[in-house]
Amino acid sequence: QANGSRVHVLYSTPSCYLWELHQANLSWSLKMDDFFPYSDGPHQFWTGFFTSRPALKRYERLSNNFLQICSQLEALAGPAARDGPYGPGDSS
Amino acid sequence: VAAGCGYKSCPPTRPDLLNVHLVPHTHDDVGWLKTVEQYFYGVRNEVQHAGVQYILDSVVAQLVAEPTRRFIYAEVAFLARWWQLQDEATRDTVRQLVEQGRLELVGGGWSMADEAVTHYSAGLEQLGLGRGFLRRALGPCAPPRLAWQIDPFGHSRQSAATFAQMGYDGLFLGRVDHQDKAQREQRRELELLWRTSGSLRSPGSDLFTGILPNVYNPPTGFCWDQLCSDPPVVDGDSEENNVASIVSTFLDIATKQAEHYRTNHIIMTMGSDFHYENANLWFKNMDKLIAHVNAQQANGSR
Repeated sequence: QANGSRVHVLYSTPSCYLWELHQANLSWSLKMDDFFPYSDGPHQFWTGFFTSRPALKRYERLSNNFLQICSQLEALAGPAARDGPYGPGDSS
Repeated sequence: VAAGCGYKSCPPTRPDLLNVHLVPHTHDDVGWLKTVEQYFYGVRNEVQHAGVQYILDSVVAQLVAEPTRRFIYAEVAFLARWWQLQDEATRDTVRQLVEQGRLELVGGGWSMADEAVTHYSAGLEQLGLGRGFLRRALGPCAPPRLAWQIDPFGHSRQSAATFAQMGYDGLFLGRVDHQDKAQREQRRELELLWRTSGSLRSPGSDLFTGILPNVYNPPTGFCWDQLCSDPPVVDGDSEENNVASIVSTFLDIATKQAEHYRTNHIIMTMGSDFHYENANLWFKNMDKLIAHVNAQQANGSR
């Protein structure tokens, strides 16, 4: 470092970093599979959460089903769908 | 000050040197040890010290104070909550910061969604919800070009395919298997092109993917948040002056990290869980780090 460093530090963002990588015009290795399972050390795999809290997981899947039904009915009904027993809705 | 948003607003770099991109960020879980509301307002700090409303206030003020500073933000659930509580003057300031690329939105979903147990259609819903808010509130510069999945525990090809098909230019990851990562470091394959679909045509389904050096944390010794206890940069006339050791440690870390990546650019994530509640601590020390490290270039060089 006494002879002068070869390092330049700057404030940046991931997309500006990505822009510089793009400018480098390299060929990158190809990946075709996924990044499962995740393990951050020997004998510790983060695969328990695939099934933990089964009731909540089912509740979310079912809710997404209901959401899709609501969206479709709202699209079919038009503005009338906003009027409900408790007043007008604010969906957009 | 940057000329426009997107890649046009990027800071100048030095093609002849190793460029270290400091990326200030905060990782704000949309509910974890506390509820979303508790995290937003900073309630029950005895459980975990975290208050997102203060983080956003503080970061905006620090970005305004110094135009070269940058910050990225990911979780729209918190940003939208904060936005509702701001006056028009603050909103204008934030819109300007976004337009000038000083505040950049990454990811852009309502949250940083899990990739193992989520259904792809729900993943689309939450991305649409977040990106829709950003576009309406903050304008055309706001919706991200970059996916930011730094904390999910493993990554699915389907999730990457969604990002590719939505027009994202890249994806950055924090957590990959430790053996996979060690091998990729050796082979300099931490950055790669992910062919995200077996049925869609390339290159439409290809996504540049980068694995970050230290999950999403700063390098050891360089954590300057109020939640950390690393020494600050002391550059005054003081018995505590530590500039020489901080600079040499930093140069050492940067050089070692560069051995695992292929270009003369590397990235350092300067932040962690619910950091930047007092953003001045981070930015003041990074300002000094940048000044002192770059000053070393002047002492002769090849």
